[in-house]
Amino acid sequence: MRWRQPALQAAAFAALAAVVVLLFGLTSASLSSRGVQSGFAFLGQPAATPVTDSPIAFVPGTSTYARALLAGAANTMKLSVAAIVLATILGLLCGIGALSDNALVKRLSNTYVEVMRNVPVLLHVVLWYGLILELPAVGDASSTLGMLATNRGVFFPTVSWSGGLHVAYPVVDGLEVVGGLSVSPEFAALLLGIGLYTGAFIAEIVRAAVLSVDTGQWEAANSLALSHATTLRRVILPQAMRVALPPISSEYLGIFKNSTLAVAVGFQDFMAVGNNLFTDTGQVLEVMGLVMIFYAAVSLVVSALMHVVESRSRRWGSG
Amino acid sequence: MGLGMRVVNQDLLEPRPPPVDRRSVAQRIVKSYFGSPASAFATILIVAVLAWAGWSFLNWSLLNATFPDATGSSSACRRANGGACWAVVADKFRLIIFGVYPHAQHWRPACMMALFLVMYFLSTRPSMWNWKLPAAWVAAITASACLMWGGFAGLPFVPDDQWGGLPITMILATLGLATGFPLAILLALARNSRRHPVGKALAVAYIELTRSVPLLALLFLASLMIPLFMPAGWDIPKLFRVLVAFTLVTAAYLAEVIRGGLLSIPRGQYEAAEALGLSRWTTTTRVVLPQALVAVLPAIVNVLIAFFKATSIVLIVGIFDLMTAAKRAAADSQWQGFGTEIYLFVAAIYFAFCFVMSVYSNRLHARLRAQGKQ
Repeated sequence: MRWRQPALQAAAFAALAAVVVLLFGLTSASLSSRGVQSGFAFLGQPAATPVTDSPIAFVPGTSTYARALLAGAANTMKLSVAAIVLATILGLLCGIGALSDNALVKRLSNTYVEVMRNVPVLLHVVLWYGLILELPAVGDASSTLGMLATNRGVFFPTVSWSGGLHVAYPVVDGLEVVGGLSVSPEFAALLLGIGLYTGAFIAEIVRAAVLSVDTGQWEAANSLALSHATTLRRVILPQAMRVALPPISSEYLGIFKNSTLAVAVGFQDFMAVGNNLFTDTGQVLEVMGLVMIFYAAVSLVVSALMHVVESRSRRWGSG
Repeated sequence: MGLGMRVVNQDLLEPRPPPVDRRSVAQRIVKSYFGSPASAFATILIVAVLAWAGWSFLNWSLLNATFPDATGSSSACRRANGGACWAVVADKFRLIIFGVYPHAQHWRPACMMALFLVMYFLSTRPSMWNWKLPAAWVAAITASACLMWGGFAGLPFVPDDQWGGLPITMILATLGLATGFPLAILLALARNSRRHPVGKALAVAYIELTRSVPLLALLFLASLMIPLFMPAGWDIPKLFRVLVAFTLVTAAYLAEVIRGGLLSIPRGQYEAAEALGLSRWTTTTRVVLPQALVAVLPAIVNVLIAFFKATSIVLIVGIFDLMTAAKRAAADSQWQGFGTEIYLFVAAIYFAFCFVMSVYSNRLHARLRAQGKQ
């Protein structure tokens, strides 16, 4: 009966393969009966829906769908990186603040974490979007410190170096704002919503990691007369960060996946462009396949990297 | 006093009380809030910012606010300039909580939600942690389904595309987790097995792929592709498609949590079961799984909290849940510009649910650690 286990497994595998083939057949029949084409030829066709706000130049009507997807991917990366930076800064500050001796700082950090964590991230984004849209209109906005906060975006002065220090201030010109670095309301809402939400989770991770460092380290640093700040910076945090890195990297992946909420506010990230794509062409399978491959590839690569880092740090110990 | 003298205490020493904190209240405040220059600076800065922000918020939300009046119209809010308009919450309350369910039948979703809350409470009682809990849940879900759909005993039939608001959020979160749980146990056991490499590989592939793709992509996939799998003419309700997607996703996340529990079982348990001659099935169901599940119960509650919040994403695929109700209430042209009040109200509802669940999770974790189970 030694063949029983492999035979059972082979039978289970064959059954699963049969189900997959059946589903595939049903879907192809269904799609072709609705007149939907298959194949990836649509990638070379011109896209009608504009992709705004992207570092990759996109001209609606002439640029291809492939370029639209690239522009969307660039937007996703832009949003993810910005949100990761914001969340990390906030998370570190609040995580360390939650362990402070100052009762006010501790209570404020804990309140921030509890309030932010228990509200869904989509609600965060929608709330911020609503608040930003209530900023004054372009005509009524007054600039503070060179920044212009309007309901069409927040505009920052840019500093450039060409011959001398040039500062380009955003200036109101009729109904538009000329000059400066512009941040669209959608991007700002997504950045603030996702960044503040994930910052609370990173704060909890940092707090747990700092608490996991042996108290002997604190006592040794104290006996060496190191200040609280120096102890944290030179002794505790390097050890704590090594423990915190895997959970923080999975929070970063969470930011990357949450960037798909851009669909809800109209920011053209990869998912939103994909959404436009299969609304235009009707080729759900191919487009959703591309979308899933994009997100799965980035996530799996980062997870594998984190696995390698973790196993190397475990091999060489935590010392 | 020679070298041979030893002092040995003959009687037991009484434990001494802890040292008394002889500092005065003022000294304690100074130490706590102004202990170092950086601490003092932080205190002053935070007090200043909180005072300004708190005063502005108090001004907006209470002092200058317009409270609901008898007319139920937005004219009072429009006349007052700048304050919060809480009349919009009173006007939209039923829409947010019950969706577009027929007005006269609102007692039915209310009863359903009360039943679910009772079931949540019962699920926390350790005396129910055996066959009684699944049986009770099946009964509760059947009763809720009958109540919501109706169509018998004089209750008018309400199709599921008219359900909405908070009941849909609770149904999606609870049923998604309940149906995902058995699948998660299977996946965790498959991923942990050493004798079935094919099953293990399939489980690994399924779990890793599902966890690396955003939930929204899977929701789109389910709501758009399930109709393609079905022969033409079979109309699967959108709620059911979304529920299938939630089941598949919760199964993947729960499988990882349960696998952590399985890995924490010492080898001795397996060996003892083998020594007693128990079959693999009995070992798994009677020895391993009970211990594994109890060990990771706080983590399972955390997954429930995460999915309760994640149900808000169904706004984008068009299911009428609490978040969609909020958006629709805020989009009403009569109450244009007062969306913030509605969103804050809905945020308070989510906060209430998730905070209570997270407090329970922390208490459970502390209780299990005290009992030595973690």
